[in-house]
Amino acid sequence: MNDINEKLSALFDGELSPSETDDLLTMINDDDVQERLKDYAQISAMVSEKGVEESKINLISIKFPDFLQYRPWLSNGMSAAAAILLTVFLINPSDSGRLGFNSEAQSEIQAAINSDEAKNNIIRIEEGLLEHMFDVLDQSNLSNKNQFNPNLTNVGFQNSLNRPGHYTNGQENFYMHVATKDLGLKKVRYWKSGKNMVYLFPLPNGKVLTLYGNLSPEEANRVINSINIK
Amino acid sequence: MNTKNNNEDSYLIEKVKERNQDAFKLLMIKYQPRIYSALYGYVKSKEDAEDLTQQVFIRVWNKIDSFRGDSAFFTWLYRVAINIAKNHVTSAGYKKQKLNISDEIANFEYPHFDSPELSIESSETSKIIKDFISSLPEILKTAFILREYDGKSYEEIAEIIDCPVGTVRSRIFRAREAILDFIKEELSNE
Repeated sequence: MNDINEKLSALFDGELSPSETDDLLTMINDDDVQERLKDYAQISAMVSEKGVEESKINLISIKFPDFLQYRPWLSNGMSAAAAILLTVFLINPSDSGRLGFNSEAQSEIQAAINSDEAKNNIIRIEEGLLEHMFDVLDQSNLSNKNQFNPNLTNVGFQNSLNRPGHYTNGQENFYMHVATKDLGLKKVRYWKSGKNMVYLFPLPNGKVLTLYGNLSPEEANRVINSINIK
Repeated sequence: MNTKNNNEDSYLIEKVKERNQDAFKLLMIKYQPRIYSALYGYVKSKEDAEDLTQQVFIRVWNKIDSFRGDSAFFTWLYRVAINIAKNHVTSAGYKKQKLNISDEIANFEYPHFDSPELSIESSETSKIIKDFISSLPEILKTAFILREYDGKSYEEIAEIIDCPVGTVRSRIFRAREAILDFIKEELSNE
């Protein structure tokens, strides 16, 4: 065990050869390996000047979304997406009935278990949705021309000056965007990301309307119902 | 073996550019505490710092091709974090929530502490650990300090202390293990 840990210590320092690095990278999903590397990272943060301030509370763990973990057929692209999704979780299905998320997704998953065609279909949809969601979280990847700026004063939201697509009612803030490509979304999906929510609403033309912000599901419903979508 | 510390992550970065998620995961594990700590120092909110840390790594995954290797990877990563933090604190929503906080917090270079107790506590923890490092056997302490404080590569350390690279690797590992044991035994009960 000490031998492997010594190698991990050297890996942490970037001091292994490419072949040794490749060997250890295959073990990166092992819990013990991850814990040991996190320990080394923690020590490094503690002794570095910038890491001194919060040595006790910066033990946030890297979490992977539960809903990705029980789908063994996930493609590499999907797994890569999962790897960068630190704290995005699927909302508890019992909370999502109002928005109609759960039933379709669950039935698609069930169908995919028994059908290659359904499996490929769900992978395509899920990958597209996740890629889109990452772009939403990293807003620099979103094209300005796809911002959507309806008047939402009837539901208490003002469009932020100089920030197209951004709305606020003083307490809740969100960003609205329309994806140009058909993501295959049939029903509303939504996720929690930290303190924010990502809502994806299918539009009649196959496009997807996205709301991203600290908006409750009830408020998201009110907003979407106030928009005249053709 | 890397000889320049600036390039210690170069192999992993090349793999990330090829969309290798394991290499990316390792970089996240390696740098997440320092990025989180830096962001927390800026926004003074655990929740915000976690959100921003997530954004930093998402940005890195999306923009890794723009890293040319002219600086150390952490320097680039830190710059990404600063930009994201600046955008965060200057956003309309954040200002609205933080109206009682001085505008000076918008300057990343400016140290600002909402919780003196927290700061003292973690400074004390840091001091305890640094005191322990000072008490390590000389051969372990020297190798560890040259690596962690001075950022030297194993090869450079081997030249400085005149021993084989394999010995440097072993000493740094043993120093880390000793520090971990100390933290687990001495600090976990606090």
